Amino acid sequence: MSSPLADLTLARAADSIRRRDVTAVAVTEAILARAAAVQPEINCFLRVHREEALAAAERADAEISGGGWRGPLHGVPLAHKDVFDREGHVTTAGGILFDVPASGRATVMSRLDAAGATYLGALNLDEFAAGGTGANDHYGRTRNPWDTDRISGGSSGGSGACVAARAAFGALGGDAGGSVRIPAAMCGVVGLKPTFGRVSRAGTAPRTFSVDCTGPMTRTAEDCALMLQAIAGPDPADPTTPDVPAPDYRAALRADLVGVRVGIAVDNPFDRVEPEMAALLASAVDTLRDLGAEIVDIAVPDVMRLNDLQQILAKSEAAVVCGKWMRERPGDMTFDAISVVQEGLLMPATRYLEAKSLRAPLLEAHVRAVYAEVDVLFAPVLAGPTPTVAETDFADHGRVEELFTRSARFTRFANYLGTPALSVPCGFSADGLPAAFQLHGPPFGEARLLAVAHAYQGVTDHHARAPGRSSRR
Amino acid sequence: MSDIDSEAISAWLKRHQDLDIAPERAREIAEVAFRLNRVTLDAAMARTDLDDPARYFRALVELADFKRDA
Repeated sequence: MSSPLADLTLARAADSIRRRDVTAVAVTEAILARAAAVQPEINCFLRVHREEALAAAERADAEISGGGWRGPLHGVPLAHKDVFDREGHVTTAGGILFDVPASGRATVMSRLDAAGATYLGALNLDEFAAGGTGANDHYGRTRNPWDTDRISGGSSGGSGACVAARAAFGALGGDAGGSVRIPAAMCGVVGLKPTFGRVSRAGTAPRTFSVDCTGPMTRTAEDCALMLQAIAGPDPADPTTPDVPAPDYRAALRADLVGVRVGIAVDNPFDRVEPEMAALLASAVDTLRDLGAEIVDIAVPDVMRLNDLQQILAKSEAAVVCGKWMRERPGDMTFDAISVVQEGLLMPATRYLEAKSLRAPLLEAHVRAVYAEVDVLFAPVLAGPTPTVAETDFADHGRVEELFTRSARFTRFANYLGTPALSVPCGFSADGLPAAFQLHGPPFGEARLLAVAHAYQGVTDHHARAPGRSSRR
Repeated sequence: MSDIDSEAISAWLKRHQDLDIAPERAREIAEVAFRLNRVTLDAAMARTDLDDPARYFRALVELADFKRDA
């Protein structure tokens, strides 16, 4: 139940498998045992494909022993938010509307399969990714492995909780406004929202068309680099993926930050952080400085307006995606899922198109204002402690939205702009809850975000701490 | 937003979207929608011209891995 194999990082597990110190089957069995142990408490899985996973692990062992090692994901068990098609399985997207198995495979699934990763199963999420707490009335709530009285965050709450609980070495999530970064922060793992178009969305259940991004959630920046490497790059099946080659993300990792200028985002909304979180963020900045980074304050223009523009795209498009179901099968959607997309029904097409037409000039202005001055932008992810389930489990939708928006104001603007952002664990509150900082960068600047995070994790051990089962209530 | 007629919004959602939304919730939805509508309108009005939305993808690529002058 507590096999040390499950506690390895993805990179170390992969290396052990490559060197044949351990078999992929043994690693997969250890992870399956961990998944079985934690599932009753945190409910991160919607499905576990035990036999498929063990069969894939056996194939991996045979290939590796025959000299056919495919790369650093070969034989490594991963699980993913249930929005990615795999033929023969129903992609639920956290809802009950769909009952026909997928006929094809999402590009990201095919790429991870080609890299030799072992597919463990599908992970829980807010219904149709239309929430930020990990609540799901159909399949039960995902709970935070650090304290099961706390929310996991969402919508990729199952992915965050699963990786934190060491029930997979990595997981894919989806981020339209913070849905990778916020649960990653609340669960104490690394979470990447890549540049819009960096990762194919072909075969992925959409929440929106313009701001959805698929990204890895892992324990370390190095692990994140390995997963991103496998899935990044142009895809003929997704016309929004441009012909920008993916660099070698692992090779770009570094041990120090000499010559790197880190901009600390100041003013509204970034200064609206509770004192304990602010102290943890300040300590992280000190560590970056100790690593050789030059630290400067920087004002980021128009963040609140950019956040609102993201909401116009997200709500309008989600209302289109969900509109047919809302009209034809409202009884098969929960009030929570319906209520968060209703606003989109009241937005005129002219406002939506204005938001679209402003996107290029505002992106250009943002990049030239920020990244002409600094290499990366440092910002909060969470405004305060992760809420309890009780704090979010009430009928007042407006209060839940307000609670979520406290943190989403740090994340949504990157989705409007399409720029990459990474959530990195940076310590724990007095109550033992994870804290995190966020690194933003220019389009296709994922490598520099991962490099800074890797250097930080090289001199800190927050990512090495595991949720203690005995500490859970 | 005291000028929002919550009953009318609720009726509109029923008529056009076949959704049964209580007037109080309809008012909440309308407040958010109206505020966001103003954001784009104000931002658009502040510009002398608007871009073709398709230009966004070109801008994204042109700014790829943008670096400051060291």
